Amino acid sequence: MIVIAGSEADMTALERSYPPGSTEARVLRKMAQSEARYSYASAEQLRFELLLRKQTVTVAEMLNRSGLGFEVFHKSKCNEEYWNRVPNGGFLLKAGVLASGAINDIFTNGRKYATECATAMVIVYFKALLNVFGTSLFNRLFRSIYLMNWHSLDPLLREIGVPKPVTDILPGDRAYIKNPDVDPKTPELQGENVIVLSDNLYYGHGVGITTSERIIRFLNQNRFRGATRSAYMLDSVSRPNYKKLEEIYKSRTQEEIQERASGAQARSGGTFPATI
Amino acid sequence: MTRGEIMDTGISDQISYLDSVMQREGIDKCISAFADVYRKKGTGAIALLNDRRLTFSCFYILLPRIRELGISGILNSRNTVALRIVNQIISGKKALAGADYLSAKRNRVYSVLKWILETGAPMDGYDDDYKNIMDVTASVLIFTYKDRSVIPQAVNMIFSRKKAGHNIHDLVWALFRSEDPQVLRLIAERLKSPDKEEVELACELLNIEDKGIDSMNAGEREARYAAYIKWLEENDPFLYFTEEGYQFESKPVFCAVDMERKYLNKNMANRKKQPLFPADENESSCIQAFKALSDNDRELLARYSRRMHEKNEREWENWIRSPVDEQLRRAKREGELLQ
Repeated sequence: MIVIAGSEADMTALERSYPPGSTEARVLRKMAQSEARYSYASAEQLRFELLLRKQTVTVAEMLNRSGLGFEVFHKSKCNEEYWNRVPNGGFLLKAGVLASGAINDIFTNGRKYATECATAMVIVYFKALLNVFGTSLFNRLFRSIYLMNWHSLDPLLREIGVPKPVTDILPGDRAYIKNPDVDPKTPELQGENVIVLSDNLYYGHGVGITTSERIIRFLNQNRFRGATRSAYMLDSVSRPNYKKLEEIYKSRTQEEIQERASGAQARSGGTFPATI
Repeated sequence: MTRGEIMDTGISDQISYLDSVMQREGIDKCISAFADVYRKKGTGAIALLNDRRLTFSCFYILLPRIRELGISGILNSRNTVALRIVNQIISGKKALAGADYLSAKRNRVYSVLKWILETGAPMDGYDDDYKNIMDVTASVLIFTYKDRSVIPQAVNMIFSRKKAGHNIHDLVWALFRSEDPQVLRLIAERLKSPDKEEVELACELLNIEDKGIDSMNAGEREARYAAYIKWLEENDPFLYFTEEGYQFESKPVFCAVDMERKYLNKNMANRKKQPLFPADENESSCIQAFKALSDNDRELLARYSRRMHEKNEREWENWIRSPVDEQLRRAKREGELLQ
């Protein structure tokens, strides 16, 4: 059930705002049919979450096409025009480089980068935020970025490293398929971090866009001899703190709103909502 | 150069000629010394490589030259197996042409893996491939060969790697996969360290709050270590390993206490969390009521139950048959008496 300002939401009105079959419409339907109570202070708060979820899904599909390579942290690589590779395999934004340009570069020069599945998830959330916030606000918020799985996450995205049990797994969530009997010689296959794209479609870095069954089959092929436990999807997922992020979004300066509106129009032919 | 000549140079019996050159004069000099010997007498160079005292570190830095000279076919068995293990790990760990050196147990492979870790650990962090080799070697020794003797070395590597800013995530994962409480004790030793970063890492791995580290003196650090060991001893029969890791979350909890088992004084069968099947009606109702309590009350009641059981089993038998709210009242009233 969806509750807005203490009252049950008018689903007809909400659903009219989004094309049938869109990510937003699927999220809304799942929330409305759920036993869980999804509470929002305002319709804008809900719309922001839907927008960011939609962008997370879109960006995950983009990252899958980017050519980003898969490597364990010891052998990760990045474009050193924008990032410094630190000894633990993470990428630290170079001094004097704009965060927006550095994040966009991963999508345009994907072949210059290689990392593990967890860092790929963090990249997805940063890019989704960049698309929603616009360049000016994004660069104001993220003067420094450190990409390294769930370690040292920026406080604004801390929650994506803290999974919690949920009633519903929704598009835009970060889920995890665990491989408890993984072969000890392939620690990187102890599990697969995935972005939920739709009901049974996931993006995992290294496995691409596919179903949970295929990811499980792949992980099961990388278990130790005599393994008895299959890989499985956990019922805990992590989500950005949408409400906190919406507060920040609301506090944009006039200049940031203008920049966001013109940038969005350029990207999507004017259909992308500049305000929500 | 012959073995006799090596001894004549006054090199210790404990260290190989090539290692001594590496230690005294550095890696480049070691590589050029090996090439010089090979130029003068090929068999002498092979003998230096096959020296039983040679370390994996020295072998590793010479690998490019060994490949270049095309002499990998005439290495001794230890070096041949080591070379194949290195190739398998660096090439992505897939078995090469049916020869998988890292899956099934093999005595010869085991002794070489052990040599790699024991003589290679001091140079851990040399390059990216080297760290990968150390990670996989530790993981296979701990998990496939169940070799607990390498755990102290793995713990040392984690702390020294962290200090150098290198990645520890897979090594930590391999270590906790041993499901051996020895790991917790070894990490807890670092709580006494005067090095703040070491204490912080120990706290992170043991899931202890790291508040106040900056102002702690040696006595306070020692006291915290003692408190942790006391906690560990009390909870040891009920400890399980969670299989959590850094790949999934920012603050994994590697090890936890099964409070229900502690409350009913039922030891773990192994170090994995298993469902608890109540033995009778009373246990069943106790567990139902116990589950409904707050986290703090559950912890208090489990601790009280454990301590009472250790002091007076007969009294505990009576106590556990009383209603849970009564048990809790008594635990709150008398808890301090059982410290």
